[in-house]
Amino acid sequence: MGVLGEFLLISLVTTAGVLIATIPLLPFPGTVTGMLIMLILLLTNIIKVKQISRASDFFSSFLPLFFIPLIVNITSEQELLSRYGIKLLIVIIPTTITTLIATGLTAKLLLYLTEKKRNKAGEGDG
Amino acid sequence: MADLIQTFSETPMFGLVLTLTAYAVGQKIYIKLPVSFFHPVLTASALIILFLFFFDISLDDYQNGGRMISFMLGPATVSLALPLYKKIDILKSHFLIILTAITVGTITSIISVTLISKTLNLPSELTLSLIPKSVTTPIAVETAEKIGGLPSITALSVIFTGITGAVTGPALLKLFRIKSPTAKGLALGTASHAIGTSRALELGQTEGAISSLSIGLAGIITAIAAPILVRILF
Repeated sequence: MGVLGEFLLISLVTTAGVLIATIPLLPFPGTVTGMLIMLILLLTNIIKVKQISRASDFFSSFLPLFFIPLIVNITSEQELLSRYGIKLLIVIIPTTITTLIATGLTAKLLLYLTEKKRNKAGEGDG
Repeated sequence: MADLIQTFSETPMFGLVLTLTAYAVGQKIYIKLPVSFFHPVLTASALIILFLFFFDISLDDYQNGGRMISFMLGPATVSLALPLYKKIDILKSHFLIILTAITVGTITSIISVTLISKTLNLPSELTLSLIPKSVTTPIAVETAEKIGGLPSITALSVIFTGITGAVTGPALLKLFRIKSPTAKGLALGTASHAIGTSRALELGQTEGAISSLSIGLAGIITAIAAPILVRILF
């Protein structure tokens, strides 16, 4: 498939996601719905990796570029930012740390428990 | 010169050219000065804001072209399915561990943001902007819009979160004796998305792979959990 076809395929799935997400009861935002549809299409082999890989790599590698205009919009929130900017940082730093530790420790504990269970099973076999 | 820039600024090409140029400069600076704070997106955004201010160009004129670039966030989010699909074997091999760890991390993030924001008396639109900050920008922004946050504040917070995770991550992992590559990757990817993942890649291949898997999963879980938790917590 040509690169243009790859872009078309991704655009179609994006559109499908956005349309489906207009159903009020669904919890997902539109593009996340599109991402899940794409994942299902890949898992069921309806879409193959090589049918989207070049366009998909393009989008992934330039992802940071795409949100620059969003950040520039911050100029219209000047007032909020000058009043609460420091407080925002005071929230961001510790909560990032708690999230990192909570995830890491949960994984550590679960890996340890699985390992222990496996060892026990191993002893049983012996 | 100023006249020429004024005329140019009224065409959509302006926002496009300015953003691409600023991003290229941002990347150059980052290569010369690889300090987390000089993340190309931050430098580029600052350069653009300064340029608009200096030449007295309105945000609307800039967004004529800027919009075309941010429009790409939609298909870019859908494209996140591919890296997720490529790592699906890792997910299958540790399915419960990965899913539980990311869910615990996501819920911790949302609850701790809400608690600290309330303690500091932040207006609720700011708290709601901060709630999805640990996940990749396109998902964070869409989730923020859905729960009533301000997308620009969310986008900026996502970057600062990424930088915080990448800078403090390795030391925190050591402090809490988190040694397994799987746990390290999960922690970095869940707390600090792609910026954390580039740090995870420096630690090792498994760390990087698990971290990049976590970006998509944490995004999906946040997109589901945030609206529900917000209803309970607010």
